[in-house]
Amino acid sequence: MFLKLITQSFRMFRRSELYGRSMFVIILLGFFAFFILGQLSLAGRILPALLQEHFPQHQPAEWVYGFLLPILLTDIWLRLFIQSTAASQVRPYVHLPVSRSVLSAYWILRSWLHPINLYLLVFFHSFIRMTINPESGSHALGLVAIALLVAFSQGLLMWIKSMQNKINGFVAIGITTLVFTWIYTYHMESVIALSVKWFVQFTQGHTPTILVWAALPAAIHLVVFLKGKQGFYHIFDEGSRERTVSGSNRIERIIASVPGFGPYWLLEWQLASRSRRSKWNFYLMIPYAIAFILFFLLTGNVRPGTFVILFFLIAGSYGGFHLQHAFSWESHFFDFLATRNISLYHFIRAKFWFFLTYAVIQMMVILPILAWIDPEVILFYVAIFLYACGFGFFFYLWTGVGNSARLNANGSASFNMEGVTGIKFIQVMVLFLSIVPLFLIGRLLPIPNGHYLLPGIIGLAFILTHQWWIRSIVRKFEKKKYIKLNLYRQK
Amino acid sequence: MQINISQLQKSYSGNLVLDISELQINPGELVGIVGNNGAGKTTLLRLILDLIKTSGGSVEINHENVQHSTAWKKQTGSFLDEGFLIGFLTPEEYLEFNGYTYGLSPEEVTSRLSEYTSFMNGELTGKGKYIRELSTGNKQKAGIIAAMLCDPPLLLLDEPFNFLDPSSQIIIKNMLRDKNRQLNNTMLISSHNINHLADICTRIILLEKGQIIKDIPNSNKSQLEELEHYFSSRAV
Repeated sequence: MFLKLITQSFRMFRRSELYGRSMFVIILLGFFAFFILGQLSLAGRILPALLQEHFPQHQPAEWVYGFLLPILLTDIWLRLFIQSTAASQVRPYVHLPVSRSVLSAYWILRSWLHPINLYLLVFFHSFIRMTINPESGSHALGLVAIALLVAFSQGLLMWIKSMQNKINGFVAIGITTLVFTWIYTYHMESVIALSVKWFVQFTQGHTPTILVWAALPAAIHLVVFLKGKQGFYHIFDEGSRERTVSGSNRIERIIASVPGFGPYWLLEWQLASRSRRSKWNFYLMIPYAIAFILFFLLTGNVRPGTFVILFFLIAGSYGGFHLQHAFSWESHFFDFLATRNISLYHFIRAKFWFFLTYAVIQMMVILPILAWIDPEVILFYVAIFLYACGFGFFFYLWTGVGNSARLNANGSASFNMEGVTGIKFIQVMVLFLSIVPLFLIGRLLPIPNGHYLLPGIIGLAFILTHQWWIRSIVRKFEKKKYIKLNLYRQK
Repeated sequence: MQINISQLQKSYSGNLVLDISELQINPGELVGIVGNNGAGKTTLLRLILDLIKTSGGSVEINHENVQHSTAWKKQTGSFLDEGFLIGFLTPEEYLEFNGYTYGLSPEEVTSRLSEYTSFMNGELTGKGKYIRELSTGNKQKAGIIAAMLCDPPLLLLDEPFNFLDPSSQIIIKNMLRDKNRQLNNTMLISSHNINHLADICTRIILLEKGQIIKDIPNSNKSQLEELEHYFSSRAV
């Protein structure tokens, strides 16, 4: 039976809608996977030299092997937020005559197949080779030690996520983190020495160390296995747990009262803020705005290359991540929109003004910070703002008419390629790269700061003429209406 | 509201799924559409609502082609399937937004909702749940109420009795009949439940493989026997 379940799992993987979508997505995913793994491996190789250069008070190996506990805690926190256990994979079999032991073992094995289990192994595979002398310790045993840490982290996550009240698990990890932070703060040298000593002993095949090290993940997995054997009630409890929403809050009441656009803005806000994936896309503005400021601080001056990256950060934070799937977010209720007395022009115009306002609010927060860092950057920032909101919004809404992939706004937030097609990817690339020729042409203009003024003026022109091009989008939309409705409905 | 259908055809990949030469639905009629799976009931409703493009012919509501005008939308309430629901809204918010599109204020929506208290059975509003979290039956209720709330001169419902508990089926059946009598509005109800349709409809249209097989006046279950006979013969 266990093998049968594994076969089903493989079949599910092979037949995944994600892979079946297009060859482009498969290649893109494969490329990203190899790219990320390659970067991790590279980080493991170059980190010793960087540590040696910047923190010479300890050996590079000591900095890492001495901090294995904080690394483990960070890994656990990361997992708590982004890793789901394979409960949904077990769900279809719970009501069938399959023994609980088999289901429990299957649950553990499936959870292990999460890609997050790879990153520490890939990083340490390189790092161990760079830092452990084969004469004093085994590389393979070093990797086994890391694998056991990963196993412990994985087991702990499964234990916490299968709790009736997960908050208790979060609190326990929080307290543990605080305790170790305190220990590291006041006894750093001795803890580093102890941690390094244990790791080195492991790589040297010191049996008691290996046994103790291995006992922890084995114990937690045994606990998890026994918990699974008791039943998978937590899977079903999760779905039926009473959750209540608070209803209209102050922000929603303010948005709803905006003259002219109120109900449409409210719908846009509710769509963006109440569903997992749309929320993820919408709130990306915060890290992107921070990344923008940091990037500017680190790079100092603006060159064509950095110009594109800065534009990418700003345009993304102004709603680019959300708007690139314009009209697909509404795919699940497009029939409703199509049968109600809603003017498409008014609907799109409300959308444009909603994101423009969203961008202006961000600008009002970021601008004083930039002015404080370097007043000269304000012109650049305003120019990019105008281009991202003028031409950028036009581009998203114009190309959005061609979006026909049905998006589940409440679907899985991370690594969700739903709605991503080859054309969409190229369209976004075109938008980001469109700033480069403007930058170069602007530099040739016989006016100071021409490279900022040109994209700024173009952006402003698109903002000022938005009523005209929105009408044009509406006409384009009307022509494709039935095709879009059908595609949104069929899938 | 009057619906005029003329030479209406819908085909997919050359396969004709609906072919109605002439059909007129008169103001105040409560028309039931029955037929086995694949008969074209939902396709017909979607064509009337201009949700799919005709392959030929036209649909007119009050002598205006639905493809060329949107004025009919203000006069039409409809609920066909979950595509009419907005999952991330609570039922109250959904009904309020829906009411807004018909020019109803939130207060009017709340006031009109009192008519549906027994239909909602205390399960729909005030629960603090998004529509996507509701049971299928309660989603169905939200959609039906949204369609009926503005007392539209034209009402189109697809399988309104599906997923509803027996009490709710009876309540909504009676509401449809009463509204039709009070407001003299036009209603098109598609359903597999011939008992309910025979109970309330003034006219029943039987569709089979995209064509109208029977179009018969009905009063007080007068056509139930004929319908039962027809479907029984198809089951052999």
